[in-house]
Amino acid sequence: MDSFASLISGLASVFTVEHLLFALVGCILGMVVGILPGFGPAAALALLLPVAATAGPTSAIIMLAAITYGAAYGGTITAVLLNVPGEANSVATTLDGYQMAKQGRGGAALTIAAIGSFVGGTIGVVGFVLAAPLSQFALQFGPPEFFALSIVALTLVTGLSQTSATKALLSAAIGLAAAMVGFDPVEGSQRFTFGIPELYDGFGLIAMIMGLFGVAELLISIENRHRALNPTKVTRIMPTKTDLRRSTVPIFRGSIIGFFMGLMPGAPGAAAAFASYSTERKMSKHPQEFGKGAVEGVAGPESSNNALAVSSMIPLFTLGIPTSAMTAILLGAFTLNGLTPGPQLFQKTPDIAWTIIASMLVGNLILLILNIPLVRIWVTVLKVPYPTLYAFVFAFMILGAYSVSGSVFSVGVTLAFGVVGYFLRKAGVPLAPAALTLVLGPIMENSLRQALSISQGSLSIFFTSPIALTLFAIGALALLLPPGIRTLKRLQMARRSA
Amino acid sequence: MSGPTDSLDARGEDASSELSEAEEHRKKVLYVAINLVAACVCLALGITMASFGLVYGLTKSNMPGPGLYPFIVGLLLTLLSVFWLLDKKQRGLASADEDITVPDRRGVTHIVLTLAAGVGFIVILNTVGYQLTMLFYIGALLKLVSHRNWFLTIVMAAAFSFGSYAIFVALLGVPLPLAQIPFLNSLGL
Repeated sequence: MDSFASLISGLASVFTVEHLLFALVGCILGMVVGILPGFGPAAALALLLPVAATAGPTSAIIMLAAITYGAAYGGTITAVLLNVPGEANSVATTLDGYQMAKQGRGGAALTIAAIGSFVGGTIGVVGFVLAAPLSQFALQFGPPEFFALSIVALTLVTGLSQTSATKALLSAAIGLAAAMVGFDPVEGSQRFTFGIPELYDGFGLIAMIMGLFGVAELLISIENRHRALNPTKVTRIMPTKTDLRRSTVPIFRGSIIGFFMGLMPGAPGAAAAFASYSTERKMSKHPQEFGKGAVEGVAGPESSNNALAVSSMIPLFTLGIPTSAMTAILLGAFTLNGLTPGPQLFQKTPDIAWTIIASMLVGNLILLILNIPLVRIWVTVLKVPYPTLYAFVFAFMILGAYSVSGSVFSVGVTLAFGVVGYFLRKAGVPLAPAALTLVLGPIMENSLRQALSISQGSLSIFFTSPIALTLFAIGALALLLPPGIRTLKRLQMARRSA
Repeated sequence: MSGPTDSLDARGEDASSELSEAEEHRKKVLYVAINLVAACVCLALGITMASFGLVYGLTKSNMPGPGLYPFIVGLLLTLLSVFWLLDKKQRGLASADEDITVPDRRGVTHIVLTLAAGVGFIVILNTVGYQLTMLFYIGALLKLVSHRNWFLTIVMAAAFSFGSYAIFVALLGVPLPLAQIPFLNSLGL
């Protein structure tokens, strides 16, 4: 009950002009990012990190969090009107959303998606409140446990990565290496600076993340020609009573599926949306309508998207551990503002923590209010030629990189990391583990060295703590289980074909 | 009955399927090459980090030293890069992903131009000042990458460079450099 009382006081703090403005800006930016195919929310968060560094902790994180759930809805607009998912989580929505649009029901599909997103986001926040006491458990953690927890986060993200475990681990190692440049966090001696003063403070988290995610994604987006977009017309916006009735249960089911899948490392949004879609098809009285414009096929996946966007932040807020690229960038925004997510956040700055959580509730309401009147404006935005948007986004990124440090060095780092990110993506190396370790690297080193200092250099400290041992076991399972399952499946296939 | 047009069509289809096969092969070769180069770079990085770790010192008065962590990470990078190299060597083109995307010539030109414009920005910013540098930078992107006409390019570039300067300096209080060339500086640029 304490958590709900804190949520109410958080809600009271959200209602300031500044916080509401940042939530509104975040929602709009998120939606814009969502409707731009090829420009994902991680890149948008990276792009806005310089703003986060100057706006103050609460406002900055309110805005960045709003981008994540705003993007979850924005992707729906292109999925419904163009049959092009703005981001991966909206792929499932194209199946029935576009069919609805072709039948002249695009407005209804978008409205149902907006209602579903609101309900999903709200259920996500309620779950957040229920999960907040988890942070009390993390208060028992010392350096060995924090090191073990970082290892778990890393192994879960790499182990569940879609590509090979070697490449995912390599990406993590690259992030650790890049984060190591600059002063040693324990003794303050210089490492890998080679006498270059600009490197004394390291490459700079913002510049590295903007490069790896923002620049790399933009470079990939101009590899091929962009055809002119021709969205379907939106006539009637309000759904019929039948649409609303048929959507109610799928919205709640989708929200619950999305909420629980958001707690998983990697926060697999597309998987959650498809899980919700196939559940609805199985449970529907009209399965034959799926793929031809069934409103349940929009309601379920869209609710799950937004529930997931909120619940994926729970491990970050309660344990201080990011489980995806987006939450890793959010962690970066916390640290830039001198905040440490995890138990300390709720203990030392509960007002900030609960204001941010409450802002998600308000943000989802803003999304619902904005969506319906803005549908026609988004259709117009879709007609702006992508190469023109590209030029402005790139220019804004360069300006952001410069304004963080007031030095062209940061612009150089951003471009250089952009090139590295581009080639890593071309080589099939996932970037999410690198984002995680860029932020977690110094925390991991600190915990490791503090633990070893306590034990006078003995590794036994990691094996005498039951919590650390359990966490290491989870990490080992996460790393070994997926390849183990793959090998078993391969053996089964080989046996069958023999 | 098949006429001369059918046979021409069939030949056309054969030629286009050969072309797409050649294109697929080129993509796979490029993918494997990028993987091999990336693995070699990571290997070199790993060996360098581990060596520097030893130089910085693994221990200091029986406590973990500043080189311990770089040594561990360097070792990890080295091992993973060797795995990666061996895997690519062993599986060759078969290891290429099915959905490889490779830029066409126009795409490569766009990427190179974008990066060159970025380098140009870095080189001239402190001499020419923010407003003119951003004008040239976004102008280059709009004209050379986005292929807008001259009028739109100039109008949009001027609006962005002078507008963003006004917002950042006057409203947000973020300092952006003025030109070091006295004549430009006297114009407020």
